[in-house]
Amino acid sequence: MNTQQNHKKPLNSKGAAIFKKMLEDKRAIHEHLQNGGKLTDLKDKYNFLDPLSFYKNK
Amino acid sequence: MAYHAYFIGYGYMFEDYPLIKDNIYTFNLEVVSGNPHKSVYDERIGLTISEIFHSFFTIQNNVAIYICDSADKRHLARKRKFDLWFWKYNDNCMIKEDGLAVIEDTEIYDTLLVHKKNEYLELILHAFRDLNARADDK
Repeated sequence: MNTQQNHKKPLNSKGAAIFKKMLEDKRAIHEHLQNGGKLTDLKDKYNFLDPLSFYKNK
Repeated sequence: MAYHAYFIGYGYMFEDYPLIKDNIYTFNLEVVSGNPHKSVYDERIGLTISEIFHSFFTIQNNVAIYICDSADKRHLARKRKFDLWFWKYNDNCMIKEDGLAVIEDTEIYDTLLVHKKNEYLELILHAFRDLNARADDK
């Protein structure tokens, strides 16, 4: 009798690449801030939303 | 305590959804100073987050996703905190849906926030559920 258990590994989600990128970016920004950096240093690297855009169409 | 709150656009990763891709953002909250594990409860944080999202959703087609990093094992505490803020401050204009993505044996809690009057609401919910579905789900 085969007593070896079949450990089924969880499969990646379809959005794995997207969530992985989001997480990587989040961690990179966190590390940058922890090292004394500013968000403005990263404005060319990430597509930060301009909060003033909330009111432009009003 | 001081925080950075910011949104980042991820439209370039949602090319399969051309109708909605330009309004998809992640939301993050970063501690700037202070120790959140030692600070006393401050209601102003939740109120501020609430105001941020109300401003964000002045554009009703905007979509926000936030993910809870599990690197420090505090992801469930973060999720509970956001859930609490949502249920306390939502004035029924926002719809929240939770997901759990599996990435290389790591589970990541992710949440979608969308305005109930978003003209692409059903498409957005479908896309979000599809992203969280397992790759070989039938």
